[in-house]
Amino acid sequence: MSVLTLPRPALAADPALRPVISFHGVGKTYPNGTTALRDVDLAIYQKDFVFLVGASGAGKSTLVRLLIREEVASTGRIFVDGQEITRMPRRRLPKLRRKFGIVFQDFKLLPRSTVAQNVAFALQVTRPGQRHLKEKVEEALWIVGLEDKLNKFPDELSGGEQQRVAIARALVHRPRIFLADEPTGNLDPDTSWGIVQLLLQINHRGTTVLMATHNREVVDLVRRRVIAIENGRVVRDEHEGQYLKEGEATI
Amino acid sequence: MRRLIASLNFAAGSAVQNFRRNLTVSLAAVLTMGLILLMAGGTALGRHTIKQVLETEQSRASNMRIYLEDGASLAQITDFKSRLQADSRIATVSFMNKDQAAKEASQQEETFAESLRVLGSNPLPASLNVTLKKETDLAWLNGYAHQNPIVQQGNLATDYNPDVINKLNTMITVISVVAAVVVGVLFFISLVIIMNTIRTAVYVRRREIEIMKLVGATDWFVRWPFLLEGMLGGTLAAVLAGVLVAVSYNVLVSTLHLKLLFFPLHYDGTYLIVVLFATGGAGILLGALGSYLGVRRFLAV
Repeated sequence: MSVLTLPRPALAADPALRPVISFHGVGKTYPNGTTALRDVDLAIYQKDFVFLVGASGAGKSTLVRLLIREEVASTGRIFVDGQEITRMPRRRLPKLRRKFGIVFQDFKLLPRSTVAQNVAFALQVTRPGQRHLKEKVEEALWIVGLEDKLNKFPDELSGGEQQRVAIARALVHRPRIFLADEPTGNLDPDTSWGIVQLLLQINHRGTTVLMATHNREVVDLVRRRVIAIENGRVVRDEHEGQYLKEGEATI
Repeated sequence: MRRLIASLNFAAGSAVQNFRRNLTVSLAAVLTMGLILLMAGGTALGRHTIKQVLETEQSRASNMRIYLEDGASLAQITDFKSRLQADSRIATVSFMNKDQAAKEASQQEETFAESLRVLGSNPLPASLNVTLKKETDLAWLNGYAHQNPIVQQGNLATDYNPDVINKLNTMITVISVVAAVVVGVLFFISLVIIMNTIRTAVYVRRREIEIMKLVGATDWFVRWPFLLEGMLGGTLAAVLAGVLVAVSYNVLVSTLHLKLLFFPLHYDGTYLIVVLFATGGAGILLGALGSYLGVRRFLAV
């Protein structure tokens, strides 16, 4: 049934060939008995741009949560940057999470803080006393094209602009991996396209991007690697994939 | 160092902001903590004052004057004095002759000198003034002295007032027990209130905490603002209680001093400072403990 175009990932000895993220037989069953992921194997390499597609409840968000260890896998092993994270002690989680830049569908901005303060917050809480804080914040906001909105508050911005602030916040500490969980879920098609272009641009600078999405048009237009999940299983993994399997009927 | 200062600065800023955002809940916590510290500090000072009075009473009580027969020879007196001094129950012994007794009496009562002149002779006996280590040995000393023929018969002079001492002792016990119970109950109430304050603060900051965890802030970085918030509340409570304790101690001592002239009551500044420092320390500890429990209970980091 499944069309796996990539071989099962193995731990390569050469760090250059070693995946940035790899899942080995990963399963997740929640305490209430729901199984969100079953026997997932996948490998994502440096500079990959990956769309994670599937219906709501297919297990996309669980996969993202396992990566940042907000949830712990029930079975299997997950490696991030060569480190096994399923048995990683709590005290090392902050360091793991700093490898990621993460954005969500609901932006998660601080409503009482300005755009610049929202972006600075990420550095203040992870690297207190950071030098050149202002410059770093301005640079991140310049990348997302909001350098003229430093002192605006989130509710003065459009949805797309708010998501750009969230992206700037996720970028400001220069993460290895960029995780986007339904980043265009709340945005209109034009704005969504802008956000995806921004993510492509970030990927172009060398950052691995993993984007979980429902947005069929974007996936079909960009034609990058697509990993499809259905009922907790990886059912498709294609280098230049589409949202639906070729020949699959539109609902 | 730079990181530490920046972290502290961040935590302190957040703590003050938390405190202000939940002002009502924070103030409730400060007032309860203040109340408990006021009770504890007030009790400590009250106990100390009563103890002071008691000690003065006891030292007065352990004084006994043994009146000597006029016919007693110096050798007999010296012999008796040295036997008394040799006894381990006795602290000091001093001799007062008839002239000294007359002089002392004249000083205490102005008309006495006049009476003496009229009388032509000194009716006051010489005496040995004995201080006992424990006032409970008064009965023994009384019996022992009377065995000696140079000692005048009849009761020996003493300021011993068992009634006052018993009353004061009972008072100390009652105050200590009542205060311990009340302070204990208030202690738990204020812990619960501080925990509740922290719960509210955590709820208000849930989005920030979520983001902090997401971007990789350490658990302690997330916890510190809440711990500091509790300590800030504890400090404010201690200041409040300290000012009230110091002012009321001052007012009470001076008022009582005017009303109860005979009472050996006096203002003890050193002890007040000790109490104030203890109150401050207790306030900070109480705040820290309450918020630590609150953070452990309500902050999932």
